[in-house]
Amino acid sequence: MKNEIANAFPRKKFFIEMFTRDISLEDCLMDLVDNSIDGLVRSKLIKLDYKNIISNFEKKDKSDKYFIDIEITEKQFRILDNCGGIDYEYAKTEALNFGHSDDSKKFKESRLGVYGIGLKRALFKIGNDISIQSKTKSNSLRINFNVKNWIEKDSDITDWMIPIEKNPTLDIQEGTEIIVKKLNPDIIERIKDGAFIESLRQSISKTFLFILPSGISIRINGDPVIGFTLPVSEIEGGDNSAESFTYNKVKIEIQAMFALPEKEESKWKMDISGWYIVCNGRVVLFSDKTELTGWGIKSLLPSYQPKFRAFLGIVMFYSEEPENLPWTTTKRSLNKDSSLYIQTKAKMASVARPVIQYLSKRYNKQEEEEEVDIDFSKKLKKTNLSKTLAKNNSSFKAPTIKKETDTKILVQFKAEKEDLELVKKHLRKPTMNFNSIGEYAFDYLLKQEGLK
Amino acid sequence: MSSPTDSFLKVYYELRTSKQIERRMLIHSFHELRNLGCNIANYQYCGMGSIFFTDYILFHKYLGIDDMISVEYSAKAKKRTNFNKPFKFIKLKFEDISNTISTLSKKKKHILWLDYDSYPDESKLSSIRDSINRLTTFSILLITFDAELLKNNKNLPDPEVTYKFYKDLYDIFFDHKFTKEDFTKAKLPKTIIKLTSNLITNSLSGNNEKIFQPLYSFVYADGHQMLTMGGILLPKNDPIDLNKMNIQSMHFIRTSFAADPYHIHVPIITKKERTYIDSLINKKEKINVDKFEIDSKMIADYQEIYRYYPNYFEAIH
Repeated sequence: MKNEIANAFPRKKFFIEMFTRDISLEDCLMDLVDNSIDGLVRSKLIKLDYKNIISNFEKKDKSDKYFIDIEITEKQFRILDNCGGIDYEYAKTEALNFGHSDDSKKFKESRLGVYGIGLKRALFKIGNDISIQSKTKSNSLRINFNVKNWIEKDSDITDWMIPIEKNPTLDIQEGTEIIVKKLNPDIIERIKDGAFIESLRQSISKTFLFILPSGISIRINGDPVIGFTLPVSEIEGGDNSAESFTYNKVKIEIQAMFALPEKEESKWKMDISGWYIVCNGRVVLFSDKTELTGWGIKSLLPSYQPKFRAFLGIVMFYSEEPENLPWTTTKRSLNKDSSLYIQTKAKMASVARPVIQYLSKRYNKQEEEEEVDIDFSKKLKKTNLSKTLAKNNSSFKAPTIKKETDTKILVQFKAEKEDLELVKKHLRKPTMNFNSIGEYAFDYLLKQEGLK
Repeated sequence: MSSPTDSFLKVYYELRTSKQIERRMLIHSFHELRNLGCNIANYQYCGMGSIFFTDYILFHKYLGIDDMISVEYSAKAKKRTNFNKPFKFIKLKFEDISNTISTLSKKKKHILWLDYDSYPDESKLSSIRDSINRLTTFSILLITFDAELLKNNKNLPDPEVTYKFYKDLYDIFFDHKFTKEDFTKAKLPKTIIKLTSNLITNSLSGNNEKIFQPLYSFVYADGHQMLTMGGILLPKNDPIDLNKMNIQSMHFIRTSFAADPYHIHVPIITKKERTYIDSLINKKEKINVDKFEIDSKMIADYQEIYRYYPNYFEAIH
């Protein structure tokens, strides 16, 4: 027997053609936004922990010091920021690798970049001619790169290297500019489809709703994206349900509450309701109503139903080591097998339970839904996220409402007319109506069985 | 959502002999838990006191607990419950127990008794999961369920109907090896205990702080067949030697839910017979009674529970 060695090489073609399939264009572009924001974190210009996120919502000075400009045309994609830039050494040894090495710990100050694939995946997905230039306080860099040419040579690991220019003179602020030309045909089609820009705008607005208040303006083709406002509420004379805990150095804050109804109609919108899962300030799941957040899983939560549309849950994970967070590589979903997330999911269910039960009880009777709706929504007051998030350990206290809820349920069944007549005769009540016979039969059962 | 059955309207709680024996056995074990460093007198007791509060009276008198909450789902007998409250310090809550669970203090240690008088349903299973999650280490969780067979359309107890119900209810916690045979009246309690223990294990999956140590697995019948299962939450990384609590001295303790439950059999014997048998008791020795016709099985049953057997007398107040 002789031990040989089998090939287990990476192939450029795989990285360019395959792993760009698992992610949408919107999510790719948001990976680039993540890179910009991480620039701010590395330069110590912003922080993304719970405390800072709360205080950012309270900030009086609403002017944005930092910008991330995205320009998209059929000819070219460009993202430009003044977010601190990429360090030359970091770019040379680490930033362009597919996946982080252990050595990268010394550069490890990022909060949103996790796996070391976002930037490359995005660029490969978008197009062919790539140019990156970046300036930090101490140095600058420039990379020009043609994907088609690069892919041709793939016989040795050194073929993977990319030329980088050290300290060129650049005409930008401290920050980064990435330009991609010769866009891929699929991408051009998406850009032309008439809905893409709006879809990207909405995704960014929701995904970065907790981060935008740190003084960042994200613009798409010149128009600033307004951060989505979560309709959080405060219960008059009551309390939201909240719990916080730490798991292997990850801090987790869970909040369950009622969403604020739409003003005019005192109605809750289904598409807003559900769980919001946030990792290091970035929204990973938006208004989730699926099994992933425990809905419809035995002993966790019941299946999501329209009667829960006033439910709003927020879970915030924070860690200085983002690989410890339960997000997937696309940052659009959660790792179901993560112990941290399994534990969190159980706690989410406990925190949500009193709120869910309250809603279940309110809607016991379908026909009265309307009336109860308005009644209960009056007890909800508008508040801001900082206030809501600051109260991170409280027990649910329901709004008090004088009106007694109806605990009765309508029961119907069919019976033979002949039999009903028989009952009338037997009871010697010829004028008795059929409804009363049903009620009588039920009361009879309760008494007979000693239930009442 | 479970609806209340208001069982206090049907059953005269204080006269449920087996349940009383179970309570006394629990108290015995709580005393022994002191050897694990549990200061039971400082625990908070949360249960379902109904209008009789039997467990509250016992736990206060014998364990010194004076931090107590009693939860009733229905506010129908609010005044009556309040009137019957034996001690001022008992806090009454009229709400679904799941609400109470979510408010239990994380600074206290608890004895939480989910003392249901009906069979498991979804909201009860959720409450078990929430309890496991909420309770601090060294807290005790007890769960009581009705363990009678469910009935078919002909109003007859039916293992098949019962099997289907529990398979659907426990879903992913159901063990596919279970068949109809595990849902006969005799086997049902053990089966429910096994299914519920799957849920408990799952509730702690990924938890790096605590484990659940089973201690109790009782089956008894004061009319209805009931089961009580329970145990203590212990720190995961700091193993506790259970032998310190003299487990061998408590034949009713079950440290695994896979073991056969302890059946509380209450022999029907007269006061006079009882006094006579008591007089023969000498440590763990087996007793023979040849003075009158009495089954040796009955004597053996009695010998297992005599320390916990309540006395009932007619009393003129």
